[in-house]
Amino acid sequence: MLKSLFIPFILVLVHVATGQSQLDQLKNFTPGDFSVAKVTFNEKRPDDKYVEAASKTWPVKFELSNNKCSEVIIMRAGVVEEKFLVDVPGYPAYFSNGTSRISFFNGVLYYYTWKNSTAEIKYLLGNDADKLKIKDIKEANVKLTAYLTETFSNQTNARTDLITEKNAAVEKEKEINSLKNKDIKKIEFVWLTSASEIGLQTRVKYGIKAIDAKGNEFKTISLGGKTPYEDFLVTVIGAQPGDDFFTVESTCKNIPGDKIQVTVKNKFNPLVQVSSSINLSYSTPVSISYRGENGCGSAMYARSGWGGGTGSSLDVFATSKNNLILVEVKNVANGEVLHQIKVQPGVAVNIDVCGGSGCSGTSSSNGTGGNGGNGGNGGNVTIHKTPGLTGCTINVRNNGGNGGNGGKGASISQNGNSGRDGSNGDTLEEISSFTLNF
Amino acid sequence: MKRNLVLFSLLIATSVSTQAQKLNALKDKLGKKDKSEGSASGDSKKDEKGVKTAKPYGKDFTDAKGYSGAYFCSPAMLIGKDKLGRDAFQDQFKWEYIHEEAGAIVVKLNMYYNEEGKSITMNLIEKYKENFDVTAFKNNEGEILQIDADVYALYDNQDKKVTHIFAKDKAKFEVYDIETGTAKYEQKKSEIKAKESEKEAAKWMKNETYKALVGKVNFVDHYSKVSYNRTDLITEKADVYVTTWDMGKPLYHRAYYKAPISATCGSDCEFNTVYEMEGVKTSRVELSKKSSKWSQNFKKREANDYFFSPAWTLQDDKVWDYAYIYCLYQNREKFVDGKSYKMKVTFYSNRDGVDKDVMAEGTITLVYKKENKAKLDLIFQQMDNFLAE
Repeated sequence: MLKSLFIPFILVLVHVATGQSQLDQLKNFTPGDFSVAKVTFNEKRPDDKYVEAASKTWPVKFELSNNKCSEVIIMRAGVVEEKFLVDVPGYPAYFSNGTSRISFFNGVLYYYTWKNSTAEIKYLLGNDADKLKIKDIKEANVKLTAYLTETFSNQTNARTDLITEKNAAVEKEKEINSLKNKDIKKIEFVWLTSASEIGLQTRVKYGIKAIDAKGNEFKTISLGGKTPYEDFLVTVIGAQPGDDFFTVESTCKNIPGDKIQVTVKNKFNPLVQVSSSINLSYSTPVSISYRGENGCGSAMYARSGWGGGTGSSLDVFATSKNNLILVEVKNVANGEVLHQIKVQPGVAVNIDVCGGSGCSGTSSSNGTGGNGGNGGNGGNVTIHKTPGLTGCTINVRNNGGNGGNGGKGASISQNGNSGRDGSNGDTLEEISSFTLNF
Repeated sequence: MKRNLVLFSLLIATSVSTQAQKLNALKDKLGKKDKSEGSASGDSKKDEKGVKTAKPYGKDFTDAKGYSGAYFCSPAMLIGKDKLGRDAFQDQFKWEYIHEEAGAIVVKLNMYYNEEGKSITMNLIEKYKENFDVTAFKNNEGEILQIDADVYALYDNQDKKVTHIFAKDKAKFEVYDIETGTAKYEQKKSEIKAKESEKEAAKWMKNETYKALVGKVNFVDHYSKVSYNRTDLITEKADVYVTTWDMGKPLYHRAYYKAPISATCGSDCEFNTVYEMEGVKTSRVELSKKSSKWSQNFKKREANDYFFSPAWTLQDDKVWDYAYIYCLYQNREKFVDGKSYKMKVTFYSNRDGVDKDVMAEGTITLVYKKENKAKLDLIFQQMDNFLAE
């Protein structure tokens, strides 16, 4: 009966040993010069690995104090210092230097790589050289992997503690930098992009600073602070909102007064607010695109053999007013005003109405490849200019889309045909009198 | 299949025997006395381990840079067969560095290994010298890297390890055995890698888009608008990205990092993405470990050396990021037509399920519109079915 009790007891002991954290395993080691054995192989049988004693000892330093050990330092071959940091301090399974890992396990310090949840031992170290004389390195890899897997699963509480600790640190920093519970007296809005660089579609950088009753400043990241943007209520007219920057609208219709207007309020006390605006200089080029859709579509998976779409046909009206060039773009199909654009004289307006590319045909390893889709035609653009207009630069791209490649067949003669390229659109210019009112 | 020779099958101005020129590591067990008669060519001698070594090349070389000279090799290198068909070894090499030849800069290193003047050829790795002041030579089979004054470690590409040490002074072998040589070699390579990474970071900072967006997660309506299939090129401009988007429409995202994850976290790390909206948080790595059905829908994003991500899909007609969709799904009861909802997306480095550092973060404003309601309802229905599986 004693024997029958003994065996389960041993199994329990083994189970406990395999699941022990590094803090427990470390108690069986003494810092100092460790004997070393390396895992090597016969070049004729590379899978047949064995252990070979190294000629030198490697100094190993670690400190176990208050049941904590944050790092292990190994002087590799006595000449190269490698620092290994603990993974989960409360219940560590290993120490890592970013490339390799080490774990103390059953009297041996294993130096290994970890990939696809499997250990591959490179070196064995220990206070006792006899323990390094492992005959079956494959079995050692398996046992080490099993130890690590079990220790990971035992780390749950320690990981939760680690996450809680991290979150607490994050929350604490948030609290220090947040406007919440602060007596904010003033908000300042800082434009970080100058007006001379602002036109339609440009990104306009900004920062926000809040000042409390004591004169402490709370700044957003863009001003070197850590106060989150979400502590401010930002409304903007003339641009799309965003953290760090606004994106100016692509049509003047949405930019009343030719300026971006912003109002910023303290989320926790909206009475504290500031308004600011910046004029657009319209000094940056504008690009608009009404290309035909590509035959392959917008999903990740291709629509083999589909043709490209036709680029839109547009009527473009250009005149000058108040020292600016005004350009209105209309969809020929339905007369809809697509864009109302202002630019400085000499600044380009780029219009892209190219046809979409045809999608390539399906390939077939045992038959005929599919035909590629035809490229879509480029759109037609008619530019209407008022008499005597100068400084107006409108660039039009309206090439036909490329035909898609034919799919590969079982042989060259069975390859699919390439799609036809689309026709280029026409670009016409005419002089006429009209006014643009924006 | 008999392995071809390492290091020396290439480049052959001098004729290299096709027979057994296997210049590879000797194991200690080969240090036993060779009992065979005869020698490789001419008289042989024995090294301190009792291995018979061939007579070295008779000529000596010098050059202005000091690479040339007589080098001892430890362990002795297997260089072929002698006239009696026995393994022949060499522990003394004569190096000849040729910087210029016939008016052209060749930066060639000939390593003569026997009396007849047979040699191996390598070339100086000029960029290591210019950028990091490290002397190294290489050919297709391996490289020789300086680890100390007049001491070099030979790394074999096929064996993937340091196999020999070369030194002008034999006494250096007291310090530089293979283990030490390996440690120093790997240390030098790490330093080079770190400096290369710094250089690359500086190069990327000259790219307008990278400079404007480093540390940020950015959102785009189609992956083809960025150089999604290149790791060495950023062709997109910053204005290709959107900050506001209709919920339910196809959406992709791309992040630019201050340094590669392999440098900040290590090659044993992976990327994790966390989505946050209206107090709900979902994590790719966490969800992937929930159960097998979840795990099947997440491909591990391994550590790499890149400064930006591909244009990963958040959602399109065929592909979902399940963590992104699950975040929307858990908020579905809150959505009101015409209202905007901010989603914060954070890329972390992650090791064994624990998030380490923030690699990049960004926010997108998603607008819920009734014209997309049917599509979104279908997505949420599909998620319902998935959860019920």
